[in-house]
Amino acid sequence: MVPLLIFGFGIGCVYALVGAGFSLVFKTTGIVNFAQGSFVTLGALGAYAVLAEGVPYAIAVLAGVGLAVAGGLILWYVVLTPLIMRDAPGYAPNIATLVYLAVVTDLMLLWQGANPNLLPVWAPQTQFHVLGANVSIMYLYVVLAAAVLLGGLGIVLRATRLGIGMRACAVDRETSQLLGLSPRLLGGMAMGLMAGIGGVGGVLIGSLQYAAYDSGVTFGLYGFVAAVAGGFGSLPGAVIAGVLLGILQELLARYVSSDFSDAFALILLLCILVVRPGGLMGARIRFMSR
Amino acid sequence: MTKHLRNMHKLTAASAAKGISGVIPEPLAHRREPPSLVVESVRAGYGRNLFLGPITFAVDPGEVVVVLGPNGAGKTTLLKTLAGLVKDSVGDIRVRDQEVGARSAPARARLGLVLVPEGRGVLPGLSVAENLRLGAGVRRAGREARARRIERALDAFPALRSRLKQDCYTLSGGELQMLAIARAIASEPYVLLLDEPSHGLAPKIVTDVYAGLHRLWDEGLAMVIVEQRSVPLWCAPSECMVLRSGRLVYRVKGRMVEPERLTDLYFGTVQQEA
Repeated sequence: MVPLLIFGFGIGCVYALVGAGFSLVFKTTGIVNFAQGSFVTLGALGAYAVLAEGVPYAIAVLAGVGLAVAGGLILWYVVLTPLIMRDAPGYAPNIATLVYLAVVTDLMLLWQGANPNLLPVWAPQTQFHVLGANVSIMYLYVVLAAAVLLGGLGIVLRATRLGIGMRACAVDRETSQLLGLSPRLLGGMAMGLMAGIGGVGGVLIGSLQYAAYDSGVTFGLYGFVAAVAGGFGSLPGAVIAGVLLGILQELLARYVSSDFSDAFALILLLCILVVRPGGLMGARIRFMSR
Repeated sequence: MTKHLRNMHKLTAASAAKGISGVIPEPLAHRREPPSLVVESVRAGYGRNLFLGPITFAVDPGEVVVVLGPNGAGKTTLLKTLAGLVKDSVGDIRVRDQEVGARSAPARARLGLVLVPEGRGVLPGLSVAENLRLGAGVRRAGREARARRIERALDAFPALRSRLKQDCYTLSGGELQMLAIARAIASEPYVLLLDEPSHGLAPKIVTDVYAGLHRLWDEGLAMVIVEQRSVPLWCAPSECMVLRSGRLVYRVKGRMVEPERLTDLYFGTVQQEA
């Protein structure tokens, strides 16, 4: 039971990172970035591919995260910005991100093939004992890294002018422009930042779970579920829902069957939406949009 | 020299209003400052139909131009065009002799042309202090300079001091308007564009808001104020214009339009531009 909770917590942290990406990008740009999960694949497979060339681990990690950031910036500046500049209808950018996810997935298939890969562990893989069970210390590192990233993100949003600007952009784009803020630049920063965080998530989880060319679809789905269940646009909501989802899935896989993971996530989402239409942190959302 | 005299007059009026003794300003006659804002043959609209304009006027430092007009006259469109929020527009807009017509809205704000929008541009979820911090950061400055800017903005609207930590969503209408103006002047602009600052406020609050504006005017800020009704300006505007259906139907220098004429200008037969 205890190791299950710890596994779930670790995986859930990656969902939380992706969910936070959905939330922040939506808040700053108003776009639901369905390609958010692909940054996890880019991070994991990018690091794997570079590592296979025999470079040091740290550089491979940087390369993976860099690839994810590049993926995010290309999505924003090459795909989305031209759409927004030409006053495309509101649904167009959202659909473009879905197409982008498909394109990235196919490119990864071409580049890395269909075989799933596992990153070697990047720290001494000691085990520790919790209530009579052996747990790899890697999971703790994942949780720790996610906590640092998300905490840092929270501080940036609360206390820096960049973060305040992003929040301003999220609630009122026109007023933000009057305050000298460029929605295009802030959107690019949010996209690049969250792609990078997704990439870190990929590197973290890449040594615990096999990552394949299409993992981004799965992580995107779970991250999306976390973001919506938490209350779309709410960062803490996405994080809490992501961790919960990871734990529940692990329990479900152990005690029922792992075949139902996707269906379970979506049914859970529906249940949450029926009970609390605004998501777990819904009250706040209603307040924000008033 | 006339400008000097006019400023003297304004200062006296302001001091009298605030009940403090006036300070004699340095003579301004030999200081040749470029006009804060020059608007030349500006036309604007949405899509192909440029329904607004052509409009031409200028504002010098420390002066105020008032634009009046009924609903749908194009007052808001005029200010949005000047601020860079209307894509379909033509004509020259210069801030201190610098052409800004081709620049984006954020770039214009950074050059000192700042709009306090209709509805005040509230940013719910941000505290009063965070709003002011954004304003102070519009134009580049060091940390201390930014803190000074915020202090000065708060001096103009001291009522905001006790609200700094509050989410601006919880402010009253008057406080929101004051915050919107304080946030705008925290960027130390050359020109302040105000879209119906009196809208939805009690007469007493309108007086407070205009008292704050008057102080800024005295400090040499140029302003364009759009209103639907005549407001207590405390002193004469350098120019007053009346817009109707996108066209100037009346303009007069050095004073407000007589309030009793407004009904005719708003609803009567449209006259030629004065």
